[in-house]
Amino acid sequence: MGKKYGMKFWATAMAMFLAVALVGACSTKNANNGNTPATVKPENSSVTAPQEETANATEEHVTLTWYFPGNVQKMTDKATVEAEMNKILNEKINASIELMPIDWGAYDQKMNIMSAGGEAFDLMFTAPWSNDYYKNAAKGALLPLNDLLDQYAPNLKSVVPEKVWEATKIKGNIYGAINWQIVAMPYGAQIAKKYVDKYDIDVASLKTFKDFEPYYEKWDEDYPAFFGGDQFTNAPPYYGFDSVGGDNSVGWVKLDDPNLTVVNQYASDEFRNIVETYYSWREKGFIPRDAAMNTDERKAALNNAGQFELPGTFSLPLKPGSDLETKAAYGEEFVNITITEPLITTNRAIATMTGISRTSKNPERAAMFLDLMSSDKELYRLMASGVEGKHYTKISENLIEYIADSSYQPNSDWMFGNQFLGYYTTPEAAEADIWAVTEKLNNEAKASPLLGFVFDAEPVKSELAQLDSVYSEYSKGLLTGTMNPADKLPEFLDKLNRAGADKVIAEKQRQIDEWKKSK
Amino acid sequence: MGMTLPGLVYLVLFAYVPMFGLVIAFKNYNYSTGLWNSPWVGFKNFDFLFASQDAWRITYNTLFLNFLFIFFGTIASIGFALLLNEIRIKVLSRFVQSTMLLPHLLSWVIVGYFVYALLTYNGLVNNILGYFGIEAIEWYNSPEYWPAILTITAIWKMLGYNSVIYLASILGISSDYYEAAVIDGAGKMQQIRYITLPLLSPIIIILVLLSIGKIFYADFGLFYNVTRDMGMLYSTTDVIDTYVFRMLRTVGDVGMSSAAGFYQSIVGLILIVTANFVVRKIDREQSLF
Repeated sequence: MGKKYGMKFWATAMAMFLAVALVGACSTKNANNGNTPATVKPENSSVTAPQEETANATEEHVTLTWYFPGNVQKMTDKATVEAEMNKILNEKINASIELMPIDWGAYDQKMNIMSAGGEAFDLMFTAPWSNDYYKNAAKGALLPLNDLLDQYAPNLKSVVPEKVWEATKIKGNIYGAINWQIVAMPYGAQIAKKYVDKYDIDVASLKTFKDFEPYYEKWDEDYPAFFGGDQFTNAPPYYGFDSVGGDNSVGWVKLDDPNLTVVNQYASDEFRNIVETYYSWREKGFIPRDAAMNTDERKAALNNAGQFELPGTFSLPLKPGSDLETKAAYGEEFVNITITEPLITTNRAIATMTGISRTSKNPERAAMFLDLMSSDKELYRLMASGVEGKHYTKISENLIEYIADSSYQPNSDWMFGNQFLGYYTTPEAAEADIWAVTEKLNNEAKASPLLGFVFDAEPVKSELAQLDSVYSEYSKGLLTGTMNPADKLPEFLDKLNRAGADKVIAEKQRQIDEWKKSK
Repeated sequence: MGMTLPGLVYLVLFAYVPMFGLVIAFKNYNYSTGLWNSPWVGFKNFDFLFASQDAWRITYNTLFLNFLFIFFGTIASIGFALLLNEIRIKVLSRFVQSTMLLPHLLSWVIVGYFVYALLTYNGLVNNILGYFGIEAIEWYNSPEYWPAILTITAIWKMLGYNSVIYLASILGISSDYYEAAVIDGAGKMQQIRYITLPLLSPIIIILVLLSIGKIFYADFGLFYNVTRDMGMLYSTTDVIDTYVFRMLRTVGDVGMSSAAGFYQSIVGLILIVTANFVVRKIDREQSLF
């Protein structure tokens, strides 16, 4: 093909190529030079500035950016809210806030790219299940907050109990500020009231998921009795376990085991029991043939149309008032049936946090801002519910009603600070004083023996990646009854073993033993 | 010279400069210390690919399915281009070309929903089967059908685009050849066999070589959206790209992702050089370089 062109052409092309390559190399160098100060500076200021310049900390006006996931369509009027929040922030800490909600589906990836690229921003939502906290901490995306919180966020520090702070610590460092809310979750089921009446369900008799079977047999709605979904992995306490690291990674610990022995949860009787039950349910027609294909979106659409399962999820974390939340969402009465005792676990305690980015230029101000979100009622309520008269109408001191089609209704007040400062959105919740009930539950609940232990996944990350792949190959099939556990369960376990399950379990055990000794 | 400059600049900026980034594959990348100061880890990032029990399965699936796409896709595109060339009504020919091009412009996400509507348990295909008294098939639970389903879907989507390229080459063939052939009494099939196909062979070879270079890259959109990421189908549909995505979605390690990309490029390079070598052996003039 190249024979049409002469030597001269290729010589010139080569020269051009080299010239451009040189320019390219220079510009990457420059870009690096430009980056270095930005990534180094906050580190310096976080270490030295707090001690020496506390008084000067708020001298210069700064703007903080805050990234969090949410339904962006429901926050179109965030400018109004920002303006109101800035009035308070200007006065108290000489700062303004810029809210950056990202759609749920895009959030993880967006944050991953921003952190990996070293982009400058201040605050981000982080948790084990969204914008992975452990990974961000290991990769250096988050700033250690120990000193910052002590110095600039005393209210936040004191509102959350010490044992919960312990749960955030990775190698002694706190990397995320707790959004204070329910941490002691009982697990159980939620059933639409109309079904309880129609099928004459004896709520008190429901102790395990198998107790639902007689009612599935009587089921005669169009909508399937059981929609499918993973009821095992996300609810370790329901089966008497606590997870270590990510919920789906191999290696859980029995709650009643004083030695804290790590076992393979997929090889347990509990898991065998549930997948065998599922298989028999599918054969009996309680579970739809294509349950493995069902998505949360489809489920939400059906729920919106007034069709529910009996019960869709029997191992749902049930916080006080969650039946009221479901009622508010679907306009249908629900009954909460708690099956297990409330328990504080590490993953529950740190289920929602706000971290300060390594690239933040003003980590001190960011910490002060977090402190206000946990102590300033007015500020918190602006963020969580918007502006009175514009986004909601106030009914009483602590009760509001959203204006229909409100242009600011994030509906995720648990993501923004101290939830107990927030408004109630239903009269029932206000009447029951759900916040007080929840706080009482938090204070009185038992803690998992593993609370405060955080697993460092780094030494076995290659095995974890492989195990994760095996999990996603089998979990949907087994946990919807689509795969026959008689031959697929042994196959699953065999593949887990070959992917390094034993190595991961041994590593978890080693770290737990070390942690026990240091306590 | 001036004409090639934008292309060259593009190539350098987007293909050669980023190659420095390949060092990530050999590092334990830490955001706070930056790319150059992160510690070296040798080949540790590659472990998860080769230590995996699925290494053989994903390699086989990638090569086998891409081979099916290239083989049947090329035949279908050429055949379709030949047919298009025979349409004498210009407006009709244009109309057919445009409609055939339409699937190419659709996102795989949407195509994934089309396929779902057809193949779900209460879907169109099972309804038609039921009409003929055939028992419904749980398509998304039956991996054995999926190489065929994926091939058909891939060809349906790419056909319009690829056949336009072939059609352009066919239109470029001088009509003198055909006139001479008609005088010699050659029929339509003989014209295709002895004039069109031989003159089309350089472009066929180039396109096939280029696709062989990419044979180790699976079209992620196709394999992820059309199979709806169903675990039950992995045995025949899991390819390198989906596997890497699944592993790293939760682990999210930049170093490991780069290692996978690096491995794919190396194998791609080897394959294209080998394929070119084979073509050179057979016919020196036809090879790419």
